[in-house]
Amino acid sequence: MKPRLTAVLLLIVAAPLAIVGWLGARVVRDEQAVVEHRFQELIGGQLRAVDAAIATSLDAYRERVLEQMRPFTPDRAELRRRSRESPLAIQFYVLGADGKVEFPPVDSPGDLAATEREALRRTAQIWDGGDLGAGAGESETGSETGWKAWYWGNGLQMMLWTRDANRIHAAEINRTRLLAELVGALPETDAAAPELADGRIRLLDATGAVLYQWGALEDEDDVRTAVRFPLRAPLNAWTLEYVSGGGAAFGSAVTGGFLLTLIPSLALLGVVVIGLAYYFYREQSREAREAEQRVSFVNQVSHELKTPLTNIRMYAEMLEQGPGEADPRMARYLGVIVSESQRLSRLIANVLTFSRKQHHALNLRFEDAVPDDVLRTAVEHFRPALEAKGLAVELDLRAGESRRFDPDVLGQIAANLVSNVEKYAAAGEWLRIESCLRDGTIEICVEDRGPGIQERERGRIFEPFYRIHNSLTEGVSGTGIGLSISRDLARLHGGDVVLEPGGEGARFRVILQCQPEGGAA
Amino acid sequence: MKQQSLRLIFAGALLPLAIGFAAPVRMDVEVAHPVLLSGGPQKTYVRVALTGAAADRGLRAPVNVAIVLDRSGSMSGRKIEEAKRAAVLALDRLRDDDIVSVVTYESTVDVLVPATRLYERESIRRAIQRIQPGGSTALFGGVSKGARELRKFLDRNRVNTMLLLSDGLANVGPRSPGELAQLGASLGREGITVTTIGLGLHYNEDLMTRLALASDGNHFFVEEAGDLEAAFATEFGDALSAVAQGVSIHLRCAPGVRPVRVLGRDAAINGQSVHATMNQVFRDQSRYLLVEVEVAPGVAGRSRPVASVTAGFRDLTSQSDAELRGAASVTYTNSSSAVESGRNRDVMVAVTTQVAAERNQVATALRDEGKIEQAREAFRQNSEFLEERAVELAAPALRNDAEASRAAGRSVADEAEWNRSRKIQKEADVQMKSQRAPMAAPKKTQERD
Repeated sequence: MKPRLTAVLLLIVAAPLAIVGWLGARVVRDEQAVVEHRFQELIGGQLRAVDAAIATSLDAYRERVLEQMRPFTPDRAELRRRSRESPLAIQFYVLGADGKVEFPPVDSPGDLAATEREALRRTAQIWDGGDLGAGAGESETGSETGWKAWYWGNGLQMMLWTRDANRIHAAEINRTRLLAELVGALPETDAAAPELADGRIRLLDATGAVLYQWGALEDEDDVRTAVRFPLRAPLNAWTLEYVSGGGAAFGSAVTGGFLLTLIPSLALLGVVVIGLAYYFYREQSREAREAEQRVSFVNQVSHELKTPLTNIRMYAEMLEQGPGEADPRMARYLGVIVSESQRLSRLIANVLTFSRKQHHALNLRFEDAVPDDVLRTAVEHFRPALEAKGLAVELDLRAGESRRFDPDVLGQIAANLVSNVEKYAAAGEWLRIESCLRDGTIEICVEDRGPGIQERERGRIFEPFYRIHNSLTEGVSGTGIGLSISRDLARLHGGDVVLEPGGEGARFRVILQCQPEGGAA
Repeated sequence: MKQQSLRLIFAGALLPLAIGFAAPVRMDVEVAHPVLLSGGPQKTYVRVALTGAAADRGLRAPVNVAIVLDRSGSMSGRKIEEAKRAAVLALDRLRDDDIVSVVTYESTVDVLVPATRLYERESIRRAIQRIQPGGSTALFGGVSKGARELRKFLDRNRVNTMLLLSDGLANVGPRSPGELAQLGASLGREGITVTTIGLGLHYNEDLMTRLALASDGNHFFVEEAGDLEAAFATEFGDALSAVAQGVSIHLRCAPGVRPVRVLGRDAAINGQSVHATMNQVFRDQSRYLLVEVEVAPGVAGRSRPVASVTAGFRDLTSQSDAELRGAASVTYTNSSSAVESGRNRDVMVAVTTQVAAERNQVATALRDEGKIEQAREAFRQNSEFLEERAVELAAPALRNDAEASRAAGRSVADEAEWNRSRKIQKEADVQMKSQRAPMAAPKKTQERD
């Protein structure tokens, strides 16, 4: 009883805590997801701002290069001067209306500087493709100015072109310079946004190599990529990415704050639930104590009753058997006294057995006896009552050999079962008791033709103090412990009492395990 | 205000050389062989030398300097402390109206001191003192940010220079010597000179020297952190002694004269025209453009103009644009001894220096390919060549170059020695090609504690 109660109370405490904790964890996780999402959006916004800033820098660079290309001229000396002096471009080009390169002067190789020859080689694929200004490739359709990106040597090369009335003028960008200017305009680590926390924004080239990065990172080897997207054209071969330190998850501060409120409320709930559980426990144990006192009281009373009752029985029986005029009235009265005192004895025996069981003090007393004798005695005791109710007793006893068992247990079980028939199944007017000996066991069947036991009650009738409530049991006295202690005793005896299914009425089978004959005497 | 005058260079000169002369820069246009054999086509060299006058020490152009410091993990300890000390000491040489910015880089870049006038020296000093090392080497980002700071006050009347210090391999951002050279060229065209300091034995000397050369800057190999102060001092000394800036030289060869190549510098040859630039000319220092030319045959006793030269620049002393003009010609003779005696020794020494630098580069390339024996031989031959020329031209300075080549040849077998030797050579190469001053004493061989 007590461990079970403790388990139940623990469950009462643990279950709500577990549920609330689980819900809390879910909320935290959801909250974390929300925070992470918000953080991603924030970072995404920052990266977009960086992208926009790079685009602005690139536009400014473009304007300055265009500035250097004006006024448009096919004049070699001037174009050479510009190519020599421009920090932004490494070579200027002029294409005729037919798409042929006019400058550097391809047609007069003697006039070409070594750098110009190299430049023509580098850009040959663009001129051969003829796609500059034609709307193909990277250049915007139909526009008058555009970028052309291509790969040569150590990476992405860029050409800015523009068109005047007759020609296309192009400038091959000094890509390292361009990158240096873009980098120059990007934030430093000192000035990095505080939202970056333990994180870093990186500008990556087409191969994924870092071109530039900013933002403080606690451990450079322990990072994870959070957000990543390519720059807008024409630098779309490059990627912006945000990496965060592995140690601190995003917005852990936010989640931490949330946990800070969740944990105390969980704790508070826990205290309340534990308090309630303790209160119930106190109540429960008080009731249990009171019940125990009651049982103890009944027990003591039963003890007190037992001795006088034994005397009454003894003298009544002596009178019944003793010599004397056979006054039929006297004989009948004596019979009633004997029968009722026997009934009282059984009741007291049951109460005491139950009480002993409560105190785990049930003991068996094995002795050699013949089961059928025990059964006959038990039925004999009931005969007057059974006859009074008009119950025909049918005995089919085949356990006539001596076995080693506790005859009191068998007697008590049999008495309980027969008593039940007498009380509840008298309507069937029939009682049959079978017995037999099997290999090391004694089996007894007590069968009646009463109303039987409904399916749903079958399991519960063996519980202590359980009594079926229906019209039949109405007005019939009973303690509700008979079947319970019968089963307990049988189990203690290595057997069982079971209600067999089917049949008209109820049919109980009792099995008891015998000890080897003449064992420990 | 331009001054022009003519004067004769050699006592027994047979030809008048047109000399542009304008304070504070003097231009000399000279031919290695003013007297040529009349026979077939002849090869000779034209040198255009720009020499800064010894100007009044009190007067100097304001500077706009960006100090870009490596604070990667490898700089920890003495290196970073010496770098900080050198930077702080260098600041003491600047005036209040000079502009300084300080950028540090590791995995990321910090603009420690945005470009500012030096009125707030103490806060700049404190910012430098606070530098802590750690991380990778985002050299490109550092240079990019340094250039951006310089650009805020980019002025033709200021000496715009970046001092880049690194002790390791760039590993964040573009890092190939070619890419850095392209950036250097761009900065050079803008008037920004990048002087690079390689500290220790683990930096990429190719990257550092090409960046320096492309922007017309200097390069120092500082093996011991203790010598950083000297390197900083040398660079600041140069920056503070610049007399002209944004020099653009246009050499036009006369008919019958073909420019073959330019020795040492990057220059564009288009037909008869040779264009070259120098970012600065320094007080008391001579920097030159050396062009190999092929002169058509001529008749003995007749002369032929070789080249006319125009050099435009910003005169930093008067803060005005200036232009110098000059020309050179040769006369033909039938006498070999006349050719011999007429030879311009100074120009020949310069030619020898440049040729030897080229040969050293070839030898270095051989060593880089793992051809150790060939490299050793190439260095040996070069040192012999220099020894012979030292005697022939009575130029003891060439002996030092010969010794350097010999030392390089001795180092090729050992990996560690070669690493060090290669850095010494690359440093010398920059200083030879761009005629920039070597680091002032104390020299790297000197031990400090």
